[in-house]
Amino acid sequence: MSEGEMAIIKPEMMKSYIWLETADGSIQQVEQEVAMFCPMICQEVIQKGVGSSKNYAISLPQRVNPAMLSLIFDYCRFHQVPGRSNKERKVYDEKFIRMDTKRLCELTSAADSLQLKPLVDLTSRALARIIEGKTPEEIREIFHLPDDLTEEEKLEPLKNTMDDPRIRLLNRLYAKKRKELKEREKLKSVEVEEHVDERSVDDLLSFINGRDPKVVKTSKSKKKNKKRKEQKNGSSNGTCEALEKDLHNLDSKSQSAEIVDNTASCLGDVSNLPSMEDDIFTPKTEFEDGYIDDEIDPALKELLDREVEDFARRLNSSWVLSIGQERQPVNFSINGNGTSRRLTGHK
Amino acid sequence: MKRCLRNGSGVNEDRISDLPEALLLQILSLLPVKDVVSTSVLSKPWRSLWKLVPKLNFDYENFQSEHETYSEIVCKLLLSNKAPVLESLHLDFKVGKCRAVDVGMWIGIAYARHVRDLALHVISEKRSFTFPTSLYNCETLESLTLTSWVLVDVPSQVCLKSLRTLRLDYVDYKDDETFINLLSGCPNLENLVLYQELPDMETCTIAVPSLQRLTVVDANDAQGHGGYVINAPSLKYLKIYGFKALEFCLIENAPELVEATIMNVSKIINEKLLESLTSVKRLSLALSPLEIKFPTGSIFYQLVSLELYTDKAEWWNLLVLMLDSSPILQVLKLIGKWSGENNHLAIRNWDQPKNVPGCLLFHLETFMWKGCTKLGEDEKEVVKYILRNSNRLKRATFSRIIYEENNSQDMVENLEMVEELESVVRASNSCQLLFECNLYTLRR
Repeated sequence: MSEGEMAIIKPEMMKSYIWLETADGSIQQVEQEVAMFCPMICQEVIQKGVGSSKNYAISLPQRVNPAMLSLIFDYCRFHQVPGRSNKERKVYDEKFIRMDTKRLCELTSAADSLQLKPLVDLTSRALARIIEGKTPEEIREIFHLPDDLTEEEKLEPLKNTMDDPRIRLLNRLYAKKRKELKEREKLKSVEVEEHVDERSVDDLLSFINGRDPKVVKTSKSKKKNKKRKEQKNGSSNGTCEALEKDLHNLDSKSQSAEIVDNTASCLGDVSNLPSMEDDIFTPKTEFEDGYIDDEIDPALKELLDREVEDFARRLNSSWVLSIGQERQPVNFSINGNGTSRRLTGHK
Repeated sequence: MKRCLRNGSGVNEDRISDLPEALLLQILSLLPVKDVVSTSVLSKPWRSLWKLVPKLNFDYENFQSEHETYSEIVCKLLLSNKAPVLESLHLDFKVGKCRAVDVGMWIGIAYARHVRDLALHVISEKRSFTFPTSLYNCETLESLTLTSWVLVDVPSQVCLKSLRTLRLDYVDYKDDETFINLLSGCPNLENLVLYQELPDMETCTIAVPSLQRLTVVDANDAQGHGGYVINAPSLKYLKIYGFKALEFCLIENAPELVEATIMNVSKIINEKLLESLTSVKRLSLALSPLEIKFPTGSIFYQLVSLELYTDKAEWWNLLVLMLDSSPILQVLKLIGKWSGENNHLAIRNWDQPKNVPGCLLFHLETFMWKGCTKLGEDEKEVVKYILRNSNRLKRATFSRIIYEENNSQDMVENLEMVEELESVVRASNSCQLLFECNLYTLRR
């Protein structure tokens, strides 16, 4: 139908309306195609046949107040038109969610109770953007959260993991690995000289045979691309690269203490990860090398592989056991609908 | 047991803690783990919520601490997580800062938790990281992504039974065998995305009976050796970008193909590409007929929509070849480059086809030319030919991009073109011509 023809027919077309009642008792009507964009309303109309008149208005969940309803229907009215391009929709969405956080929370809640997933996703992303990168104090201020935890309680979450049997298992395995690797290294250091010689001979041979140029070229170009990729992803940090250069210049691993200090000062601090007692995991100087050279020979690698798989299996069985003890008896639904569990104050 | 946070009649009410738990978890799933953990100190109801977040995103750069190594932090947080289903784990780490043992541990923990989606991004200065074989053995993993400095070393006999999506971004392979072993270990693989530079492998063999979607982006340096062999009988969606200067590119027939995009393919010595795509319904081509073998005699018997990019040599000949071979074509789009003075390669030696292609006479309904800032005489001839012969044409759209500084000469030329095209006698009575201008503003 061309637009000209549509203009003639429109006034004569009977528009259907759906009647809705919000929790505060007020009733309003909305164009059918707009209201039906919400799955919850759609379900009520189809399954229960309500909404066709004022007396049989659909009762909306408590979390939907008239102001939010009006916003939601603005959203629906725009998006239910089929001909819009993705770009248009994106531009609309970005303008749409510009509102204060209080209204944003209300809107999220209302959209969730009406099961309008696209709007829930949109508002969730907006709320996540607000929370990301902020300190707890800032977040508390924005959302008006009471600062009702004691200092001890604030440290609690991570403290409790010390008692976790899995952490103990992990610790034991770490200690074993360290010991093994130390022993291998002691043996290796005796043979180091010979290894170096062999390798250089190999290098020479392959160079003479002319295989190298290709290998060298590809690794260079790959590095180029990867550097480009890294920079695109924003993961390369100027200060980190400078530090890496320093690390390369230092040969022996005994310089670890100095390097660790440099690392710590160079990179940022995690603000709220409380410090754990050091006896759970080994103290820094022993464990953390500046640049860990992982050139383990294949036999040891095999052994490590098997150990790790074994660990995973043991972990799996202990996880299944612990599930019975830790899971709370309350059931809650994973998908959002009006009746899912709210936050409770206890663990 | 429900705690009510409302203060009653205060203006400054906490609205966010009132949201259903599932919704809060959805919001937290969008945050990096560091921010998720810090919500544990916000207020009472938030104390344990962080442990239930089903999607974990560990960002190496922002997770540095004076007190613990990155490995320790990751292990601790992974083990603290009590979500009933661990949906996804995105983890990046730096070679040299984390031991192979640690990485093996993380993978072990994640697999023990039946993680569904695992993405590992390796950062490094010089060396690639080889994952333990345990990475390639998991009954429940559905999606795996490996990025950057990874050396894929897969012995035979691996099993990723539930894997449906595999994405490999610029990884290295120990040898060609490794890649084949990996794919053989994924009996239910549906979606494969490869970003690579072909010198990583001599022959990239993609033989996956269950594969439905394949995207290959090859940024190789036009070395002139190696190639692709693609055998995916269930393939529905295919995207190929940048196969330049290869020895071979062989695609086996894909009878289920719905949509294919082939861009920037050239200089392939042994090539079998278009002839295997004849069942496709929607096709997008940025190709020159000089670079690729056109399967003369083959018919694209299901092709309904065709997009052709006009910045390739002799694109107009490819256009004619495609029109002749696509009996039921309904939508034709010509796409010029979005930037620069000349959006498309000017036509030379345009010869009208001897017989009007059947699709023009009986099926073509939509014609679009995007980016036609300057249409030369020959280009206008093509347009006129289409307008004159398309009996079913409903709409012909010409869109161009104009920049802020409008050239008045430009405007005059455009008006002339509009008039010229409007005056063509159209075969279809209901055909509308639409001229669109997209203003491109430079952001200062």
